[in-house]
Amino acid sequence: MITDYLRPTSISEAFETLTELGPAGRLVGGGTELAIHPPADVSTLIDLSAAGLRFIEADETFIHVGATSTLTDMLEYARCATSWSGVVHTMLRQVASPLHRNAATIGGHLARGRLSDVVPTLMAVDATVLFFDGEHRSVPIVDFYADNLKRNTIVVTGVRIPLDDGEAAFRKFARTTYDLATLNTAVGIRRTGEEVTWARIVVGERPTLGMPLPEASELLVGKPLTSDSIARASQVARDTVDVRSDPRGSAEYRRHLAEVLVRRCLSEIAGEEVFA
Amino acid sequence: MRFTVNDQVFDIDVDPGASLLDLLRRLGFYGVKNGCDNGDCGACAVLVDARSVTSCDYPARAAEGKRIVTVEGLAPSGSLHPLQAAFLDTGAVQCGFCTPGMLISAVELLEHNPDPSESEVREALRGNLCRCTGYTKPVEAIQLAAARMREVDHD
Amino acid sequence: MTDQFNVVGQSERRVDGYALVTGKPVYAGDLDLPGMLHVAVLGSPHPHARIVDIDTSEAEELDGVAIVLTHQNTPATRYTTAGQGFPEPSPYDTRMFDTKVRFVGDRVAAVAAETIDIAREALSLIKVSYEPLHPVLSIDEALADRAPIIHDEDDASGIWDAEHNIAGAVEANVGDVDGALQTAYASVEFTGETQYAQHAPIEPHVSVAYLDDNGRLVLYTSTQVPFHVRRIMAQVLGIPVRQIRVIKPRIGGGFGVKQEVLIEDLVGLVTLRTGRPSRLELTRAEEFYASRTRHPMRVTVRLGAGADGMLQAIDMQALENTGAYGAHNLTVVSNTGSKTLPLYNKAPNVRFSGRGIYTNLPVGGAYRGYGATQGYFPLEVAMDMLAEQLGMDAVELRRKNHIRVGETSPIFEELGEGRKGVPQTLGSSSLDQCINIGAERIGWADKRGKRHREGPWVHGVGMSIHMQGSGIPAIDMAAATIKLNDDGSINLLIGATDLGTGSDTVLGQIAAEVLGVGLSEVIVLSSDTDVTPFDTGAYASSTTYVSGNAVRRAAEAVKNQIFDVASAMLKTDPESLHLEDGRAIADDGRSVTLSEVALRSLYGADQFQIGATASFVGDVSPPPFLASFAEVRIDVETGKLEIVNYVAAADCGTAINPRLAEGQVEGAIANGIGYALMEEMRFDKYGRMRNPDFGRYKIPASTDMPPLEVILVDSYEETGPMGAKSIAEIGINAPIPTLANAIYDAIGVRLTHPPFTSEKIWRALQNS
Repeated sequence: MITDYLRPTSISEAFETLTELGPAGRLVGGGTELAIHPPADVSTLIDLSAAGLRFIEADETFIHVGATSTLTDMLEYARCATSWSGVVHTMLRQVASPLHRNAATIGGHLARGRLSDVVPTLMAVDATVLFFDGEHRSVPIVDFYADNLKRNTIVVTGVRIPLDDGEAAFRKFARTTYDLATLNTAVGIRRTGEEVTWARIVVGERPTLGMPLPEASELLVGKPLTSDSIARASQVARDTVDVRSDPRGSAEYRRHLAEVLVRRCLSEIAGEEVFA
Repeated sequence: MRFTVNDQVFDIDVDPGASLLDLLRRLGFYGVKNGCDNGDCGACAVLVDARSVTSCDYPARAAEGKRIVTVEGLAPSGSLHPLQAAFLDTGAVQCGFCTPGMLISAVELLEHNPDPSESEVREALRGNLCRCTGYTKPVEAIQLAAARMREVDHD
Repeated sequence: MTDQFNVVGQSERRVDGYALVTGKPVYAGDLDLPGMLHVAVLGSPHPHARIVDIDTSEAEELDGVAIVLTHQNTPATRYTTAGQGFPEPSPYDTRMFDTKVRFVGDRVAAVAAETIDIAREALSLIKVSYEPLHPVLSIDEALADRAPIIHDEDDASGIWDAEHNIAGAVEANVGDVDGALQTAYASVEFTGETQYAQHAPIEPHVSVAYLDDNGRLVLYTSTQVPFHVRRIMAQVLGIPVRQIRVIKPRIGGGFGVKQEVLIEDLVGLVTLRTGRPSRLELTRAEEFYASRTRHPMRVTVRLGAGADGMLQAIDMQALENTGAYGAHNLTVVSNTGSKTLPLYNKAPNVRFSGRGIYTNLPVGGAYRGYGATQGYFPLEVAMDMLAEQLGMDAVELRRKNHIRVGETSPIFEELGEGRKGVPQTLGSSSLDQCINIGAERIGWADKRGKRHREGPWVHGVGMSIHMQGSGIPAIDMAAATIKLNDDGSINLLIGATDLGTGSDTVLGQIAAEVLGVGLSEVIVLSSDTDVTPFDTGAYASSTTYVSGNAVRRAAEAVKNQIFDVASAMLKTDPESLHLEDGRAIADDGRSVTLSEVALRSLYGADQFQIGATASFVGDVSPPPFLASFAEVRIDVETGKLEIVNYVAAADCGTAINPRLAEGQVEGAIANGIGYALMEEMRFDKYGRMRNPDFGRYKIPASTDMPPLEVILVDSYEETGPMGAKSIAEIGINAPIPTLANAIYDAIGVRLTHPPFTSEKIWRALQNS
């Protein structure tokens, strides 16, 4: 039962409050399931909206997104629609509905991690998560979930997306247009001339957290994107992805979808006509 | 806590666990509907600082200092907002339970996009579940209202 | 035909539209009374168990709790929750609170408290000791040898064969089906198994009760059947009907689920016992598993035909899962045959058998389509299979065999709703035009069998045709009261229940048409059992036809009274008068206004209230018709299906309000597309629903709906009001067979179990 609602005015104040309260405190970004179904042990909501974290700005090397920026803020930010083939914009349009994107914050999404189209996409564009645990820190998003970070004990302050010539694609496969993904895939690559110099293939909603697939990604590096390399990487993605069954789809189906969707992402980046 | 609903200023104590939906209905804004209490159906949509959100999963206390608009605030008493009129003219209202939420989503859409395509209208309504209409006529209504509003703007 | 009318045939704004679009507090849940108690219900965690003991002492002691109800302190009357005509054709197998629970979510106790939070907390303090029984979670388990008996109580009545878990059974037989199938030139068989689904009105069930100044119980409730609610409340609570007043305000959608008394008894009893107002609103989860669902069915259809494509025999066998209680089981499964088989009246040999089977799963009830949905799937797929076997176009096969004006079907008489039906000859149909228009708009001739490809997408087209009915003939009755006011305005009082369909507007238009006034002159009130005359309610596609005819008759009677007064005023014969633009006008052009007529009748000479009440029961149930066509494309790599285009051409006779009529078809098709492609209540091995929210149980969103073209093709039904037939249900029957047939056209696979999800299509492609 929620008995207190706090609104700290700085990141450090938010962190101190969170530390003091322990499991009884929970950060709130925007609208949230916490408001309706708070865990039994949570008694205090800590609203970050006054902590000065609602901004999106770009310098020469990064887009910086503050944690309480909404998904709509990001969707409407022009550079999200141009950098990395506009993949962040493309993805966000498929997330839930405007009603949710207007309230949901990027920080809340990152802290939760699962049930997300956002996290796999940010992994594919080589993003970095910024957080505060007494000090300001940053960690590549792929490590943010891999590490044994206690995400409920820190304050996620934002995310940063590199601005370079990276290219990317995203596919969401869902039962309906207004559902969580049965599976999603996001692929980012960097090329010098024709040659792929960096690649990251990520599969999300398996149905768990977004999972980068290094073995499949490595196959692409050091050569141009060809239908052959695309096919091989997709097959390895299928063989190496970790999937489970749930009511949205069986593990077997998810494994199959991973191959098809990774292939479609890569084909799109390669400039082929994909149709789907 | 201080906030406004439909330009009316409130300065009252608000339960830290309350949702904005509960608060608004307690204040008599019954046009805000509870269809699922889970952020899924959109019947409870209101504008918070000109952005449509589901009020059932929006903490009431997060509305501190904000301007809230409910369906009751769309048009002065006795008149209709062009969207409301168009919903009636096209037969877009059946049971009417999802209508307030749809109108709120549509207000925000037309604020940003005065001439939306059919698919843009459908995208804007995605979070407003309707079981009666199949969406055909609500979509038509919003485009009709947009056309009428553009005409007025031109005059 | 409609150009003869002034108000009928116009897409008038809804009479309740202003209140709805401005967010006025017009729904039952908006009624907030001082001192109101909030009621919460404890549902069973077990699918099948005996209640050994309930200890409510801690709950009762909790601060703010007013009363706790269990089987220990509530009436033990057996009844049915089904809101049907009396005596109901559903078994009396339900108690307010029973000593046995029969599905997860079945009522165990209820608490009324100062707030809903306190009520819910109190539920958690109730200690129940259960003796779990073996659960029966499918039709096959229920029919197996030595299956547990779900209704072993000795005080139930109306159950067909409780020992074998058969709630109801119905048979009809015309000719020699087996013989005809054996000798037929071509024959096919198909079994389709439809799934559990829920109506999902956006407004969940909600009721508010209070005592009026004279101690009578008043209920504001979201119901489709206010008069049935009053009758069943009296029966369950053991109080006279005269002590109860049921008011139906605006309703946030029903689709059948509110044709049932599910919560009114609880608020009624709480208020009677405490003297305080009380309110109960189901949560969305309770709405899913603890209200009512569509009855899942396994239906097998066998068809036999000659080489010319003329049907020789139709055999339909339906097994219906009615869940834990038998509400509507017999009538729904009857409709599976009675609303489908007469469509193909050329077959001389027809047989139907239906069984309603108890299981320990949520309870089936009335749901738009009412059994026809479950029957049309296998029937219309079998017709496609037959066409293929005969090498005949699927549209052509249907043209050869469907019923036409002036024809009849023996099934009309052999099979009604849980009993014999009534004979009828078809008086109106534009089905042929509907088929032609639909085929042309979808591009049938160009696309069928062509399997056009683009990348991984393969296209296909499919179709199906349908009929339904207009009310339950010789059973369901409607009445309407009309009176004329001083200013020439008209009160229309109807028991007919607008649950969001716009029927107040449609019925107002009928009254306005007869009385020669604009719709704005008609003040429509529905429904209040103290004020409005009897009407069985909004179900079975009855309102436009049955209630509409009652309104027409009442208006005709009022018209004659107006003529009597006006003829005295104008000193002319009543026969020389007609009504137009709010005036009674004589042949010679002299006229008086309706206001002048009313003022004379109320204040002038020979005073009386101009007004009349009239009733109507249908002798027949004229069917609306529908031809449904869809083009789909399937991504053969993933199994994803997209509807490229959907065309539905419908015949509802005269469309009293064309936009509202279109809206009924559009909404029903959308609901049917949901049922065909995405909707399914899923259960775990303990009978618990796994997806009781809109996050997991998907209904179509705006972006899920394909381009949908609905075309109304007028006919004129002589027995209907201004030629009208009802239209609300028929559309929902179409998407499953239409899409199943389109899927087959695209990829050559016959799917048997909706919803046709991507994964199912992908698996079918893997196996083919």
